[in-house]
Amino acid sequence: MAHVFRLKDSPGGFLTRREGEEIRKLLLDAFERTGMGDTLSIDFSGVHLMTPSFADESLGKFAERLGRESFLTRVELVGANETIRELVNSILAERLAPRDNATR
Amino acid sequence: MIVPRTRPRRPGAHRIRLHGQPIGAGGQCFYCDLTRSLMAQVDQARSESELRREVAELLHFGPRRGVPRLLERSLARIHEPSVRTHLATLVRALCAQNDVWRGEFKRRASGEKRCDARLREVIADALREENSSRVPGERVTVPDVLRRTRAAESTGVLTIDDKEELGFGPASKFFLAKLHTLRRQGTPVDLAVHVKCEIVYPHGLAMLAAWAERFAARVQLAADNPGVARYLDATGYRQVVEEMVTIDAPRWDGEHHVAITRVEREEQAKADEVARRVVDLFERHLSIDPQRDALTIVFAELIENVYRHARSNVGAYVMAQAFPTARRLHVVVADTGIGIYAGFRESDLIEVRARATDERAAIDMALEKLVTSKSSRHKGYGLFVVRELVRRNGGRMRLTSGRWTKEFSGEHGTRRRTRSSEATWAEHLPWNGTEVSLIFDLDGPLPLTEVYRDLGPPDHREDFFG
Repeated sequence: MAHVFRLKDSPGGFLTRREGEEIRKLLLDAFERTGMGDTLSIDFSGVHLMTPSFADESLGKFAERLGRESFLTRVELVGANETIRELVNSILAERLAPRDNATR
Repeated sequence: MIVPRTRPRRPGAHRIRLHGQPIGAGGQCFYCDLTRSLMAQVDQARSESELRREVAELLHFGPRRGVPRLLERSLARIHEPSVRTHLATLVRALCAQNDVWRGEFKRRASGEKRCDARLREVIADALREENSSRVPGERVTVPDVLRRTRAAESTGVLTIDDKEELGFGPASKFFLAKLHTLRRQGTPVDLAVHVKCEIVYPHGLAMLAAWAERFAARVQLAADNPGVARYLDATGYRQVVEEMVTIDAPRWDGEHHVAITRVEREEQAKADEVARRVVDLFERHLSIDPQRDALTIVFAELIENVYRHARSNVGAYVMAQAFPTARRLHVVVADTGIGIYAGFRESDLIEVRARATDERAAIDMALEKLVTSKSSRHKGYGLFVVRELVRRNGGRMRLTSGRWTKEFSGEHGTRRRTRSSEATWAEHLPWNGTEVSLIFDLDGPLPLTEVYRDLGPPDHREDFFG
């Protein structure tokens, strides 16, 4: 069963890390409520604007917290426009890529 | 005055090694000209210690080399109180330095040596005051004299002669030098700002506002050009700087400007609002709606980055101005915080502290993606995104922190560059804090999607969307 988290319905905007932190907490709560075998669908529909700082603080750290395996199998991303799609892909690739401890 | 180094230095002798504009030429304030010439010397000096030597040499300069002649060149404006004050200060400072100077000035004051009557009057007054304040046997140093003078006069004078001092050009270094010099004269300083140019740019104005909040007791603005005077009033700038109040900035926005806005760390909502106001300004001058998203991103990241990392208790100042005829939009965020280098040196990440070896390295790091002074769970994108958008737009970006400024000029086109070949460095007297200035080409692209695509690791592209 898929649980849907609509970003557009969340409080606040999509610009700052502070806002991203709030969204991340909501995402984690939503994920906790999904059962084993269920997926969390994050719907970007209606969101046309997002800063890298927000995306990293919300989705990037959320994905990192879950881990790559869990994120890929239990989280679904849908409804993003091209710009946000590129942003989120870049952020997640950075967070879920093998870690280089030298500078990151 | 240019004193060419045509003869080898004799042991024990000192020479003025000043280059650039003649001191006192053009009827300008001697002190401003002295500052300007010293700042020209800064271009040559490789370090602050070398600069201190240059200044020390000036004060030790033998009388035969003609500092009195330099004073005489200020005669065109000697009737102005500020010029007389500066000249008298210099006379007293030089007298305090050694008795050779005192003797030279006494001979001029007495008529024994030729001297312009107006200057003789200034010298005589300065000597009388110097003598009356001297305690027999007391060793008076130059800083003592300057402190007494500032305590008595308590007014610094900042003259903005050229619009480029407030802009991006090399003359902006003179502006920083003037601010630095004023600060060294005692804190806090009552500041009289005389704007002589016909156009003002937001870059220098925002820096002045940030500087004044931290280092000035009171500020008075005066502008020769009526248009500039109206601008300072209409944008709320005068009220912010003279009265040290926080205005309801959106009410002062105009068709071509975003009023100067103070952003504090505790006022995130205001920071977000400023970003949207700057975007509104841009949108009034753009016909392409998709640009709006890119701009909102740029300004939001910029303001968040500066105010978040500044650790300043005086806030950051944001200002924007559109120049429709030139098709340019100028934006600036300036603060008097700890600066980028100090921020990285205080990082809790060992690798960040290790890489931040000096101010230039720190500025380079700030412009990279993924580098931040914060904890390892926090990745920095803000300035990198801003830089990439400005570069692809064909605009300009300037990042100033401490003694260094790095400037980029972009160009149109989609050709990616892994390294910018348009970056230039400039060293100057310190700016205590950080300043980010941008100039956008209103007719240039803002390929936000393309920039976002380049944010990820180059060797690992993945589509996480179903």
